[in-house]
Amino acid sequence: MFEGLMQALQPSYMFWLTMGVMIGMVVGTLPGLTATMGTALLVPFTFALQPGEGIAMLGGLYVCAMFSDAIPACLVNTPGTPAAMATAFDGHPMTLQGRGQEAIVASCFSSALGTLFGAGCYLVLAWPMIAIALMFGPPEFFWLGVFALTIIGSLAGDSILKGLAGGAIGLLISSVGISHGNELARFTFGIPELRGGVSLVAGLIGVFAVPQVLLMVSELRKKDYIAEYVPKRGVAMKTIREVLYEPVHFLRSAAIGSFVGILPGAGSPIAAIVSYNEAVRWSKDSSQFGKGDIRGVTASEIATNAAAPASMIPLVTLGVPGSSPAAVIAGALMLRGLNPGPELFQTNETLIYSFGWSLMLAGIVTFILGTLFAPLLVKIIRIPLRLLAPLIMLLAMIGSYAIRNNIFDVYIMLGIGVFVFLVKRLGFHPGPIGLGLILGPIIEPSLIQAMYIADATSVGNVFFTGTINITLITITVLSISLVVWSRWKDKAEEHTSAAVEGQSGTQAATTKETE
Amino acid sequence: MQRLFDRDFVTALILFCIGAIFWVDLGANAKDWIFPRLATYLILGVAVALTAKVVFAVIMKRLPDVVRLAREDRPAHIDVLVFVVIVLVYMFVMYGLGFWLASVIMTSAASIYLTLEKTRRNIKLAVVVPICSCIVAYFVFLHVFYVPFPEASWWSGFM
Repeated sequence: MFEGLMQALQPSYMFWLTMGVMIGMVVGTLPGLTATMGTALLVPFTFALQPGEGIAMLGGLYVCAMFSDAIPACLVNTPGTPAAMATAFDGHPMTLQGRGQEAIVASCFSSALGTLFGAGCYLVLAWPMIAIALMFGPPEFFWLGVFALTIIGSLAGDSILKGLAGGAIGLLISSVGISHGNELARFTFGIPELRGGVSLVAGLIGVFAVPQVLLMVSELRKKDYIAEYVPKRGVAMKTIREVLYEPVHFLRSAAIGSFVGILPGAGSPIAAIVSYNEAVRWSKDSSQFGKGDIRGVTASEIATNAAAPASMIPLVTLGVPGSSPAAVIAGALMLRGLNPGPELFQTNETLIYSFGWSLMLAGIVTFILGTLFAPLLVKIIRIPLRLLAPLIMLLAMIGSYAIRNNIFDVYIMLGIGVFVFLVKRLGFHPGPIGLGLILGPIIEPSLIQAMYIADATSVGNVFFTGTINITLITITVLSISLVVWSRWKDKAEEHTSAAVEGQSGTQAATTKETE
Repeated sequence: MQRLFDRDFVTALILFCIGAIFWVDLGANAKDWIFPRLATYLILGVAVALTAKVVFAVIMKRLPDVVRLAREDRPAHIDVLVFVVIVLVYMFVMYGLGFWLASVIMTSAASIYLTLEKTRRNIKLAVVVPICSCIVAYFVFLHVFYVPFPEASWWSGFM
């Protein structure tokens, strides 16, 4: 392990790592460019480097993209990658309150902490963690997805019914295209392009970016900028202290991120959603979540960034990539004749450990660059809305097109965007729709695989037995009960305060009359 | 009459429509359709619950929460409509002019329209900023990330 550290600290390794981080900053910031796409594009460049330098560069890109996707999420409510969706829930309200710099520093610092934790797990706990991860089969993934859906309770806004409907609409949109069972074309309505399904990135850009642009246009006559921003001194230190004052929150988010990260196929978006949900559930005062609570930003960012290095654990221990960028890194290693898996651990231990240290260093470099650039980045919100709205629309178009080079994705993105903009006026929150879009492709294949297993035994045996299933079902039920109870309590409090106000009003009127 | 514009009632109608559109296309095979079927049931269930809520509000004589289009918001609605039209025209023109030229025209046209104080300086900004942004995006996406954008069909080979 020490040799790995020495190797990772070599100037050439550090140089390529920093290059990867800087490219990751661009990739994450631009909606539509994902970490997977960035790492894939960078692979040919790594052929000229040592294998260790090459994967350090790819790792740096991956880690930094997981941070920088929070920048557009916080500033213009447009997640750079699907993983930053939960960051936007509180990051953008913070920007609207003039706390944009705070939001970016918080996401940057918590990203660094998450990366350090995830990379620490990679270096120290890889084998025990993988033993637990191997216990996750399709039914467990199904229940994990269902558990993540319970966040709708916190995102629904005023109406839980509309939140549920939004989630269901997202799930339905995600089920368009070829089915996971018998590969039937579903909900294509005679349009051949729909057989390929709705691209997740295009869908998310439609849900978040387009309504935001249309909102900017509609508010143009009332305000010139997204929000006022007055640069303040000491914001970075204050925010860092604020993040550090919540050690339990950090440990919970990091543990969730690392654990979800090692589950192949789950990935950073689900880590962020589960972590956000838990932050809301365990918070003493959850009333500010969704309205600009810094813990919302940190919960999502810590988990996302802990999941990134953790997704490399199944790759180096079993040869199974835990995420799409991990699959690209596996490909890069294989192209150099290094087959990821237990063998590589034995034959090239230094390389494996130096990669772990590089991921850790990437977190630190990301933090330094992110904090340095934060005051500069926040100036985006001072661009006049009349110029910013068309530019974000252009980026949204490019982003949704670039994923599959398919112009039909742009139509879908626009259609979803206009729909969400209109239904927002009816009390819908975009969050549940985005959540449905993200969780649909995780829940449905797991459900169908579990049903195939159930064909051989029984549904009860597959879905309702086993420690992990029972635990996930229990916490799902508890989570739903908690949401119902807290909403009921809020309503009761509202009624009581309204009654008290009414009484005091009547009393005041009576006193006035007597006088 | 106002009840017809009640937020919950309008939502229920929209959900019934969405549910019906997907319901019609549902198939019989359990493994292929169980997931969308559950989601459709959920949408229809919420629509029924919202309708029941509206009926209950009528019985209890509660005031409806009406969707209003205020007169003072009309210019903002027109702005949104014009912006959407510009984007739709752009989607159509893109095939003929090619992605990048159409993008320059769309962003400039939208920026000029959205510039309320049409001074010489503001108009200049509304043209220069989109052109520069499109040039930067062109180089980043086409030459760094190799994304092949639609080329012009009205004069082939152009961007």
